[in-house]
Amino acid sequence: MKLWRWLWLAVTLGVLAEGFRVALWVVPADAAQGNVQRIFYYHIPSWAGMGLFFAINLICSLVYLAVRNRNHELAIKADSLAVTSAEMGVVFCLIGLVTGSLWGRAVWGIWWTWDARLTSTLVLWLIYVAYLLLRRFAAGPQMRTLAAVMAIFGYLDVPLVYMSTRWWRTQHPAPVFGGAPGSGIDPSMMPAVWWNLAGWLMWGIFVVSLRYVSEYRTQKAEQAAALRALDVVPEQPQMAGGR
Amino acid sequence: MSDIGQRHLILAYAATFVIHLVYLSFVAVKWRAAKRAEKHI
Repeated sequence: MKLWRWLWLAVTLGVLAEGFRVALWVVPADAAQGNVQRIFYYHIPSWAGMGLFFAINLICSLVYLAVRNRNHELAIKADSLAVTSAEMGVVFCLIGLVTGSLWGRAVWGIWWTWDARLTSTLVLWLIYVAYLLLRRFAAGPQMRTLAAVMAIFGYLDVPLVYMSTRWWRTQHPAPVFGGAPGSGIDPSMMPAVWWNLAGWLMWGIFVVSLRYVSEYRTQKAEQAAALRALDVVPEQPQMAGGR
Repeated sequence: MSDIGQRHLILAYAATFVIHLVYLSFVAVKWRAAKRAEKHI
C-alpha cells in the first residue's frame, strides 16, 4: 500500500475517533429522546456516503457508456470505479437501514414500517444489490453495458428517497437539514455531525481507493488473458512525440 | 448514559463498525486475488 494511503488511513482513524468521542461524550443529549438520538451522528453520514457513492456510480456508468467503443483504457477505469462505488454505496445504505431500524425500535416502538421513505430506501438497496449480482453472475461482452444502463435507471430512485418525506406523509420524521423553516438541530450538536460526516466519508474514499485498485488490476488481467487467448499482443503505450 | 435507548445506541454503533469491517475483509480478499491474477499475466 502506498504511503499516501497509510497517511490518509491514519488521519481518517483520528477523525473517526474524535467523532466517536464528540458524539458520545461531548455534545448534549437530546431533550426529547435522550441518548438514543446519538444514533443520528452515525445515521446521517451513512446516507451522505450512500448518496455520494451512488452518484459516483452514476457518473462512471455514463462515462463508461460514452467511451466504451473509443477509449478502452478509460472505459475500464470508469467501469472499475462504478462497481467499487456501488459496493460502498450498498454498504452505507445497509448501515443507514440498520441504524434507522434500531432507532425506530427505540423511539417508535417498531423495527420497521412500510412508509414511503423506508420502502423507497429498501427498494434502492435492492436495486444496487441486483446490480452487483448482475455483475457477479452475468457473463458475456454485454454485461458491463447492461450493468451501466441498470445503474442509470437505478439512480432514479435516489431523488425519490430524498424527496419522499417532503412529498408524502411518513412515519419517518421530516427533513432535519434543508427542511421546513425552523428545522435543523441545536448548534451545540453540530460538531458531532461534522466530525462523523468527515470521518465516514474519508473512510469510504479510503476503502473505495483500495477496492478500485484491485478491481482495475483484475479487469486488466482478464483483458490480457482474453487477448492472449486470441493470440493478440496488447497495445503498448506510445512514447510522447515518438514515432 | 442511562436511558431506555442506550442498548439500541450501542447496537447501532457496533453494527456500523461490524458492517464496515466485514466489507473491509472482502476488499482485502479481492486485493490479494488481484495481486495473484497480476502475477499470472
